[in-house]
Amino acid sequence: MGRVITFSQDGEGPDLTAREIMQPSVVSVSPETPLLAAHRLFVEEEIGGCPVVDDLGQVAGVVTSSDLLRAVTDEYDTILGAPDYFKSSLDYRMPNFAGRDDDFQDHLASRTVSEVMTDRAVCVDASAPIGKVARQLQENRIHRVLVVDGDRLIGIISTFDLVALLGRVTH
Amino acid sequence: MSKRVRDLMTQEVSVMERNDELRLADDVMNLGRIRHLPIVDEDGELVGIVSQRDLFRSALARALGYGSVAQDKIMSNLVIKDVMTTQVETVDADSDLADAAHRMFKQKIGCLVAVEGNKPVGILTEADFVRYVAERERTKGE
Repeated sequence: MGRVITFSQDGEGPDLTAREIMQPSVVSVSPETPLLAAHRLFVEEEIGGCPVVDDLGQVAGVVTSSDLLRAVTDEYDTILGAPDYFKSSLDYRMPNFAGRDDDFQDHLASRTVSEVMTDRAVCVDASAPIGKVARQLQENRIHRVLVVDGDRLIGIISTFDLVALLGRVTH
Repeated sequence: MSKRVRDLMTQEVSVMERNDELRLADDVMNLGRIRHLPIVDEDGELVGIVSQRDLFRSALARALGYGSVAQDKIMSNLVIKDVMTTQVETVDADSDLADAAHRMFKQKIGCLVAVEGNKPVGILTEADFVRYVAERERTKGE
């Protein structure tokens, strides 16, 4: 984009909004996407999860690597509390996949995102002031929040985008 | 006046020692809801750092192919120095905050350990920046 976002450390000046600091192009899947396709997307894009968007561009939820694992494992005792989507490190007590490679792919090919996704997603409106965005991240203990315009997904904000603000980084 | 790292960093930084059990580090991180743990030697000098990602990768690398009971046993034999990263990203507590933020963003570093000499005096993470923006806006009377 090439714009320099001016963020005043002393609090003066107009509020920045979610729209001004978000990443506008968002990787997403649909509820009908097969889990195997979602898995491959995560690997290719090097992400841990993404929003789920319907054919109207509306947010249906989020899906993560944790959700994919849960679909193919019997013993998965990770405590999933508040939404922790896009968590960058999984609980290290990973289930044993040795000897399960074939099953893994079969399971993932036969099921769709809609079966495993979280149908709640923390969103902020594009016009929301960045203070409100930051509080949503804090209160929900998450690292990314979706930006919507009305009902449509238009972008995503991560904690790193807030780091960039104070680092005078060009957006 | 520009802010310094010291103005934003978390000053109550949890540390552990390199011969502590890895499972203890895991408990500390889960209970304290922290993702980075600086590691010190007997003199309190910084010798490494452990992240949640390190725990995950280490457990996975050693235990893949074993059942969950064996995994726990393997984990209980490991100590922190077996998995820690010794190249720690540090910053002077009195250096410019914007420079530190710029470095974190550009190099995709999630955590800087603030040091005086070689002793940790604080830790600066993404969570601190989120807190700063959240509280700054609150005092504006939004």
